[in-house]
Amino acid sequence: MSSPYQDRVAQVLRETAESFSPDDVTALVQAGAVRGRRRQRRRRAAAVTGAGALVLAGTTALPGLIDGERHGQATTHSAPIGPTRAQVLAAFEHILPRGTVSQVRSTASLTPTTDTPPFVLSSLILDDGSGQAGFTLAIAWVGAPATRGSGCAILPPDGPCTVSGIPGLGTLTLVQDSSGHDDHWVTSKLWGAQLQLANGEQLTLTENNGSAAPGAFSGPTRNDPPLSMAALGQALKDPVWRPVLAEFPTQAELRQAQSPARLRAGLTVLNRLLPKGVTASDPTFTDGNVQELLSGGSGGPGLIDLRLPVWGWTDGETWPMVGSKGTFKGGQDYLVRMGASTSNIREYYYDIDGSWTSGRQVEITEYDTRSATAKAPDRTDPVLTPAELRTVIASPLWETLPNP
Amino acid sequence: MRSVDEGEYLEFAARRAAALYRSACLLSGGDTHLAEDLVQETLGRMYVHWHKAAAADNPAGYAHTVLVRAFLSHRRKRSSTETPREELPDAVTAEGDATVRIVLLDALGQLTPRDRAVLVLRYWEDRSVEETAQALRLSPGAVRTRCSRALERLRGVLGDSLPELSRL
Repeated sequence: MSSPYQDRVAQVLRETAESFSPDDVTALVQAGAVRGRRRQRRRRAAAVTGAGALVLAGTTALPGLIDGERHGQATTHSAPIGPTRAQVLAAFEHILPRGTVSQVRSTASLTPTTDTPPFVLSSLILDDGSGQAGFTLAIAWVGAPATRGSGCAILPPDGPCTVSGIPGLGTLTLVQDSSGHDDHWVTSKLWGAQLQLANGEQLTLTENNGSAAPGAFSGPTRNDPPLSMAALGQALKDPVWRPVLAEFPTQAELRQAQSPARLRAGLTVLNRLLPKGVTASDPTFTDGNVQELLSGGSGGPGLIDLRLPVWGWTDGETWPMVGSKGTFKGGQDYLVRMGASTSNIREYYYDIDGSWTSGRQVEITEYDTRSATAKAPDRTDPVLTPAELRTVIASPLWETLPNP
Repeated sequence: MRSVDEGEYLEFAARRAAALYRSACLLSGGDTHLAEDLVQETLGRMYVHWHKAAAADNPAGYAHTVLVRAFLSHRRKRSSTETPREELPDAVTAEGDATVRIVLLDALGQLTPRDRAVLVLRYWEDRSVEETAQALRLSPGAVRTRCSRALERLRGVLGDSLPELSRL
């Protein structure tokens, strides 16, 4: 028998619980399923290793993408969140005809926001002996800007477009643009395929008959792109995508990994590394990053923004700013980007990434304003110089941060 | 998992995700990020053991039990590194008596994880003492003791901030 107090507690608990609702049930479910598949893979891998049967793993055929069972490659280590750059590019090159690959570029969302869910965008040039051709691959959750829309909108709807359902998998769209569209589309043929999976993931592959990646300036180098439309669609159904898609992170996973506690620890590290004479104030935690004001030298305070990405990468060359790339002592990579924003909202800023061999990443953006949306500079330069930023980003103290 | 099983699993998960999320929000004291993580972890565990879960008398109850155990496991792992929450949760809607909910979440957050789990199972999920005991791997007597203690602590934590509760 319950007391009035217990009844009231139950009532308030109900009211409180019902006031919560997940932002995106589908994403939540898919993220759970992805975790399940990973967990299952780890269990299987452990079982295989334990039985001493690892030597047999390479002889087992990987089932097709649309088969029900999802197998992963036998591995004894638990990978961090998301597929790696190497994993994505290996799959990308696997589906292409034999030939020479060059000008490989790849980027994956380092710090996804509500407006930009996780995505991978990669491009390369292939020469199969009949002339160069550009390929672009995009993997994303629906809505990511990298996918350039969906369905027949993936390319300018100038040529034929077919959309077909694939039972148990999703929808395949094949589009041909045969005329070129504007000044940027001087290649005469641009073909694309998009596989929209039922779980919300989207694979888009485009190819051209030019010497630049689809979407970039190029003249025709051959009559047709290398892959026929049928082959283009088939390439997206290749089982090679299975582990990439299974590992592909959801926004919820990445956001959860950016816990406030981890950001607080990151801020503590940053403040310990500030040079003498520089003081920090007014920390603000937002979704996935922390900002604070730095004071030092002449002029007003300048904003510094710290992010600790748990997944993603950026090829320096793809960033539309002047940059320099180097290697820390011990094998860690860093990338410094400096430039003025083309939108003129941020007058001038430094941006630096540290990417450790352990997989840990640190991103810092520094402004010459007290706000990222200021319309005029508050000082002539950001507070920390690029050299000081490099010193900060190279510190081994970052390795003390808790894992996601 | 075979494709037909995967379909059943996804259907089940889609049907239960919101309820699991609400329970997770209570268990996490309103930390929606942690709640999402707990639901994902729960659904991940359910995926691996789907055959067993699907064959259970009450797969939904099975899932909620997995959730509570995932929560308690998470608390054990994180207890040494956690820092106190500095601000009250911001995910409570403004509709209804939001103040009561915020205070309640804060009060829940001050209970031990296991006591919180007892309250959530007993008064939100409406489980019997025996069912709660089974889910938490406790004896029914221990559940009664914890429940009584948790209610008293809740009353103590709420103090005068919720007169309509503490008066009863």
